[in-house]
Amino acid sequence: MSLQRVGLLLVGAALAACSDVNEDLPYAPANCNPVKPSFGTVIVTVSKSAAHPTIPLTIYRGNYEEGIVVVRDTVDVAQTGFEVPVDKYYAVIARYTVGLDTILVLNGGRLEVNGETYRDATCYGLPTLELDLRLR
Amino acid sequence: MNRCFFAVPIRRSALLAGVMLAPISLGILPLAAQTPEESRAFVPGTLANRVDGFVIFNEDDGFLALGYRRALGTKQIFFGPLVLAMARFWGHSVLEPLGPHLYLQETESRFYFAAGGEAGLALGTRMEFSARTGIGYSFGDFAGTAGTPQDGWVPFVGGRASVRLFGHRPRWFLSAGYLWVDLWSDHSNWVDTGIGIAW
Repeated sequence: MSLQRVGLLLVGAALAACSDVNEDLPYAPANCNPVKPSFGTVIVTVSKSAAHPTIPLTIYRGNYEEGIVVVRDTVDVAQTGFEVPVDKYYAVIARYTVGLDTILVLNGGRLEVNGETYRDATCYGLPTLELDLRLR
Repeated sequence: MNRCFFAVPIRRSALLAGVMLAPISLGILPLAAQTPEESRAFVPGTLANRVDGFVIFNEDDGFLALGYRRALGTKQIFFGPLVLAMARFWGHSVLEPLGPHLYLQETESRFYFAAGGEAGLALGTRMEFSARTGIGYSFGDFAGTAGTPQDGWVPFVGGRASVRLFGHRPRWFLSAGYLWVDLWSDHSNWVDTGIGIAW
């Protein structure tokens, strides 16, 4: 048997072994959600205080320079969530007034769907993206 | 703007000094406790290769870091090349003026890859003192914007003390040191501490 044939056999055996990897996995739990969610939650934390009882927020799809506003709101709690489509990048700006100064706090990230693979299904959780928009 | 972002209480400075002095104080007792069998069985001095995983921090910022040093020269007094990688994956807030009375607070991730040299002195198999210097490239990213923070080549200089925790080949070390590097953060003075393995 030539060296090339031995090599091909080894590669084939390795590929066959890889294709059976699901048999090593456990079965999906009873509360598995096999449907990939199309919406998730952007959870925003702000510096709510007596000096800042309400904080205006703007959520952009993509970087904020692109100007695609998906949510414009004013929040009066320290942490709140906004439901938006998944698998997209979001930028959020919170506006604070400190004396005569205005401080725009910017943060961003990608809201991704993460699934856990089991032998018989892929289970999805609720996608969340946590963004810290507190004044430093 | 009249806001105090970086107050440095005295107690925090004392904590940083304590972190740096800990390996020295830890090293004195094991040196005294070294048995004659131990000193005969193992050649004193440093080992050729050493990898360190450590944290570098100051009053308001921090990095995870990985370093590799190759010791040349004699075993007691050593010198050799050093490579260093530092990463801050998580966000660090920076304030940028946009105009009169208007500021943008951004969240910055940053990385630093550097090469240089380290020279030092090994005391028995228990302790090492060294100085290090080099130059590296730093770059980063801002979250939520296409804009990027300042990047470029920056030098570093510092020193560290290490004490052997256990093992002879490989040897495990606890280390603490000082590093000066200007990564466009609020401070250029850093303290580092971590675990190293030499073989």
